[in-house]
Amino acid sequence: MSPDAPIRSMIEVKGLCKTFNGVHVLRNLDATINKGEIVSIVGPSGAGKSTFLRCLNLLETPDDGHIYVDGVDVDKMDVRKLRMKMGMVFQQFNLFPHLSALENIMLAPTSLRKTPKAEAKEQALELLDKVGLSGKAWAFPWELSGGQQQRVAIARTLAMNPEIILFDEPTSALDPTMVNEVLGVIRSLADEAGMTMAIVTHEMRFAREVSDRVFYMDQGVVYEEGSPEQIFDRPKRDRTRAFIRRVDTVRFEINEDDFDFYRFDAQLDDFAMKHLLEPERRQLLIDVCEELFDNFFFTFVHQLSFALGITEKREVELRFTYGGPEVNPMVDDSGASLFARAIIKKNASEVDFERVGDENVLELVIPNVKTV
Amino acid sequence: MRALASKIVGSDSSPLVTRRRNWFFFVLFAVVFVVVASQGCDKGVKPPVHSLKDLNKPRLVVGGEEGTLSFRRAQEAFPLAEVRPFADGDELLVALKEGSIDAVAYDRPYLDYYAAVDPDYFVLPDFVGKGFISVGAPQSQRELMKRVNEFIEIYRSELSYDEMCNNWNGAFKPVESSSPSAYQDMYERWFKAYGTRLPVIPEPENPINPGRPYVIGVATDNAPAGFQDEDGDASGFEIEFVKRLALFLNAEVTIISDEYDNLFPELMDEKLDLALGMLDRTPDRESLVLFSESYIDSPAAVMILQNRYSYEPVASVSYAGAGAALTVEDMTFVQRMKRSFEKTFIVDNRWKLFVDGLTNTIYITVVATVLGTLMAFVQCYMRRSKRTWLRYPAQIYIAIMQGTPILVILLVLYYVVFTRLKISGELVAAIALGLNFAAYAGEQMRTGVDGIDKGLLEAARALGFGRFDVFRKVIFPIACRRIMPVYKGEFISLLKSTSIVGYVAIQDLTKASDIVRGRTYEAFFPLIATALIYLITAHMLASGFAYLEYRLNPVTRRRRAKGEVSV
Ligand SMILES: Nc1ncnc2c1ncn2[C@@H]1O[C@H](COP(=O)(O)OP(=O)(O)OP(=O)(O)O)[C@@H](O)[C@H]1O
Ligand SMILES: [Mg+2]
Repeated sequence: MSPDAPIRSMIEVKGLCKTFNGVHVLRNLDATINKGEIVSIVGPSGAGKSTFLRCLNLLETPDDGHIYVDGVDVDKMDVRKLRMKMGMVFQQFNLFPHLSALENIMLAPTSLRKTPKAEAKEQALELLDKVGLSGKAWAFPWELSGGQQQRVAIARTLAMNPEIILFDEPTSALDPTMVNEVLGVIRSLADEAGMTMAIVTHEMRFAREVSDRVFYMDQGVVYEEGSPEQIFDRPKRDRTRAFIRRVDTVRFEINEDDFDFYRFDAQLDDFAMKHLLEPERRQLLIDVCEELFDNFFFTFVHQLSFALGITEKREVELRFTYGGPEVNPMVDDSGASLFARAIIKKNASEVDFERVGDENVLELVIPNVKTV
Repeated sequence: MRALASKIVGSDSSPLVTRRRNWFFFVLFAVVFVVVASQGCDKGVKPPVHSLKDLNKPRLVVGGEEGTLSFRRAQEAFPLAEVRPFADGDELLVALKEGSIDAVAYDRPYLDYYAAVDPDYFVLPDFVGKGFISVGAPQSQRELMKRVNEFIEIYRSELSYDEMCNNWNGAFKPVESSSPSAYQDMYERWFKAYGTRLPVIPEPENPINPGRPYVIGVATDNAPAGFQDEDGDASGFEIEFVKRLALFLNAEVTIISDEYDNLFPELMDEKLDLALGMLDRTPDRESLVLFSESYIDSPAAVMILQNRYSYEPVASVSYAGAGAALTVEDMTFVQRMKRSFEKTFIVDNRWKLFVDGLTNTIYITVVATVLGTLMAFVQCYMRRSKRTWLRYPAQIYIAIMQGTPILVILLVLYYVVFTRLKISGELVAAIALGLNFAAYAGEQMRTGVDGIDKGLLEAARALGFGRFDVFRKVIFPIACRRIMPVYKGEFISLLKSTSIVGYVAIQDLTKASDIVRGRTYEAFFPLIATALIYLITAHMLASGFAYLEYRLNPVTRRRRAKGEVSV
């Protein structure tokens, strides 16, 4: 974008709200994406990143708020026109299995734009060439690797000549060996002037290199935004900082009715194994969870979400999000959390309780024993 | 997606194999058929009949009216022959004339009458068994019944008319007759001499029940026992009987010109004092109404065609084979096979029956498939709808169709739903089978559509496809490929289930084989041939589907396209 061109917002979101079954996923979200801008969206699992993107092209219907695309309220637009203007690339590629790569790309232009077949085919072949798959025109999706499929999917989106492309974790379903070929294609698109892109990704290095701006999303809002340097090197807010420090996260949706403690235990173990956690901390994790679930959370809620993260400093972060009345186990006087409180007090370096909307958020940090 | 892929690749080669096998069957059948067709004709001479025992042979068919005493008697008398039930007497006569049955077992008086009317018929002199034809009365008319029995005793006695006239106020006044008894005279006149008119019989002069006549119902749909003459007046044997009975009783009577089917209900409601209509006295009925002594000898007898009657006793059954006269026992296996083949296909151009039957079968199958598929679409749509008022009816419909035998559905449509509408039986059958097909095919479509990855639909919507285009361009082609194998199976089982349509008087392939079987008195060839025709038809239709599957396979498209695309 040349510096003296007037900055015009391509997408403007005001007070966007979305709930699923009474759970607030987006809470009054405000955001602006300018024309020709590349915006990366990062944030913990469950923050509502996918939901945000899906609201933009109305795959989800917002409960409240306004979305303006190119200055026009999407409520007043023909949904199909909106979607032709705003392409989307999915985590799972979603190529049509009954069509070859070429036909996958041609399908929308020939059916929706009524482009003559010959012309559509020529364009499709060009696009295939652009994503580096000119030899795979007649390959069917099952004959392509994940990375190739995702590149065809990108070409399919490009075939409609959209002004905006939304990417929802385009590399998350790929083998690590294939991530770069897809990122390479996205990067080359980003380098071409004019295209507006919103990319949800967990590839931090890629986000830093490719984006004009980064949104950090948490708890249903754009919690912090700024240039890549700002967000990745000098985050202003705690949560952002915590997230950036975090090396890996895993999230569990826990439901009392079908909660399988052995399976949960095994998954925790896998995570601990992966990050070479010491046996003491691994045991501690399991003890804390068992105490809290059985003797505290399940006494007043059926469902909660549990996120586990590990930071660069090898601290273990636990975040419990649960509904119901405002109850903090650290000050709860019912006695239910007595034992859990004792363990937590003894082992956690940081304990943070917060009421967000109608949900409780409890965050614990278990420090690296060696540094303590 | 990988599993799907391997499936698609795996099914690639099968159509060719299927097609080759079909050719083999087809050629085999054609060769056999041509060989048989090139043989001469077998006129199929039927064995002559001299006495009842000549009819008690395997492969002979004696027809009778379902539920009658004479039918049961015939079953007892001809254990070796087939005793075939018919719904009504007229059909029996037609079948005898046509030659599809060898003899008719029925009440003697009627047979005498038919033989008197039509010289082609001949009634064998021996009786098959005794009959009881009685006057019926309600349980309350015990006294009256006693008097009726007195009358019957006298009327059947050997007393001459003159003698009886003296005794009974002229009740038996003769009608230019020389017969010894009143009964004999009446029987001769009414049953053996065609065209008898009712004699003039006076009314009682001083009835014992003036103003309160006995109400007597007589079936007048039952010539010559009771019928309406040219002037519309009740006439017949039983009318004369009632008039003479009235004289005997010295009572006023009102004769109700009734229908046979109404007599028993009216007797039980006591609307009639007496009823006549060649009523069989059976144990079941005796528990409900009173019966008199038998007023007419009505043993079961057997009628054949006059030209089958042999005046001499018949020694052994012989057939005229192709050229030489051989008994069945003398024939070699090959000769027997050849003769059977000829009888099944060649004689009377019976192959045409098979061709017509097959045409009907295919017509019903195709129409049912088209109708059923359309309904299956609708049903699939309703089942998948978010709206309860669309979903529930479809669900109920499926429950009914899947829980009811297809034959019962067919009968309900034929005899209940479509009775008033003038649409052909074939169409009714196609609708019934189509409804059934829809219930199954629709559910398969639903699982086929439900099984499609939701992500694909989202991807299509995100590209800008509307609901209908998503269906047309994505759901439909993917579902088609997934459904095709089960749909094909459903189609083949539809073809086979058309074999029930014979129940509603449609001549399909199965019915054709039934008819031929009935005429040739043997089951082997018609049934094997029918099975073979079904098999070949099913395979040919299945190979049509296999070709469709082959064409729907995207890999085929790539192979064929060589650069040409079909989106
Ligand atoms: N269709 C839905 N029905 C019910 N709940 C949903 C639905 N879609 C999302 N959610 C819930 O909304 C919350 C946010 O989901 P979303 O997919 O937007 O998160 P995300 O930030 O994309 O996370 P991830 O990184 O795991 O993809 C989650 O708790 C999820 O369980
Ligand atoms: Mg997501």
